[in-house]
Amino acid sequence: MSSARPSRRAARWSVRDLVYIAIFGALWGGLEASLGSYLHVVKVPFTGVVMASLGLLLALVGRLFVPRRGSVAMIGVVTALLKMLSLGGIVLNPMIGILAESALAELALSAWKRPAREAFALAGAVGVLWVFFHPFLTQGILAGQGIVTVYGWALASGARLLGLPLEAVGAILASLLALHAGAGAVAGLLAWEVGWAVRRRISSGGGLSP
Amino acid sequence: MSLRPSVYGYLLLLLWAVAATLALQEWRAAWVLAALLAVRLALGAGEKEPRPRVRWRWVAILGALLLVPWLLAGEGGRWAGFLLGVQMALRGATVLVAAHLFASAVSVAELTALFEGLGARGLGFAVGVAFNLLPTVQEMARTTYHAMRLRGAFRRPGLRAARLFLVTLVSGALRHADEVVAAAEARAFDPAGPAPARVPRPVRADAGLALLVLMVTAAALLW
Repeated sequence: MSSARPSRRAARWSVRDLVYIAIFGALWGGLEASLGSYLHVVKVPFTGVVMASLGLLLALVGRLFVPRRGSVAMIGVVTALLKMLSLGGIVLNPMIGILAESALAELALSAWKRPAREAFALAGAVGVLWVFFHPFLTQGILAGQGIVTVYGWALASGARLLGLPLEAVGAILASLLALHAGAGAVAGLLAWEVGWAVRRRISSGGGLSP
Repeated sequence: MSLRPSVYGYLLLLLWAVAATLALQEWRAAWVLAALLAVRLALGAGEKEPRPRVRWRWVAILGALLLVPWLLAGEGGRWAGFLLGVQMALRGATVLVAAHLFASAVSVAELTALFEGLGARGLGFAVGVAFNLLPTVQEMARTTYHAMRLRGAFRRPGLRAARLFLVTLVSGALRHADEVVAAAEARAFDPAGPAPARVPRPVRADAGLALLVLMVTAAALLW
């Protein structure tokens, strides 16, 4: 008898919710496989910021179509598993990144009862901010290089990219954090715009044609 | 009797390797790496990837881990710097081998069944659908991009073109999703329904792996 009774946890998601989560996970996974690989190969600066912003943009659009707590985190989990299963090989670092970004965005969204523009901006900012702290975990702790060493690398690369002297530690850190949070906030606001535009297009019966 | 561990065994190996790499100091991670390589050798490559591929990016990263401490150390400390680099590369390689072993041995169906067994029915279904939709979504993105390019939408690339691309892509993907929803509902799929019968069960080989994990951990701690 008890095995036939649906659990409260399982009953949360409808079939539509799950398929939409799968679609947005596949969109984020496809983006990682195509643009992500390309940007990493050509070594574009701030590739992590670009990929996290675009990925969270898609996940946040997904939140508008699955307006339930945990949907962004679930999209992140699906994307991370896709990354591991479909793209093959060793992708532990991006998997940790995707999971952390989506979890942080979900945490920020949980402060609002309903989806809101400000919530999306904050969720994007918080999620993309993880990109700055990601090497501290993966290279500093997991690879054993030490947090101080990674901090030195972050400062050096920040100074080089921003054209600031290495001594301006405060300015470099503030600029890097602002750049990450700003990119995430823009992604969040864009997600809000895109999500509503998609809704309008679907409700008006618009087709695949751009 | 099959010697192949179930998904639980491989998951145990992955979690153990990451935890042990974090906890064990100096050369002790070598025990974990040796155990992982022995398992890989004993069980053969996974069904998904019959021949392991060399990923040169990872070879370069491991090489950098070896060389950077050696180069940064002063004349007197070069040997110590080199040894430190070897230890870091060893820890990195251990995590990489464990992740690769898991990814190459565990199939989507097994992982989905594991989630179902753990009560996360929805997640297993979502991962399965996403895995099958990935090529469709990529094709959809290509079609949308070329359709927009031929109509001159990218003549002035900017936020407007990117927004139009995203709106078109997501709209198309959601329309396709509705077809998947209809197909799943037609097959009476219900995420709130009872758990499926084919939940993976631990096999004897998992117990063997657990014993190996205990023995190697003890050896690494006592060494």
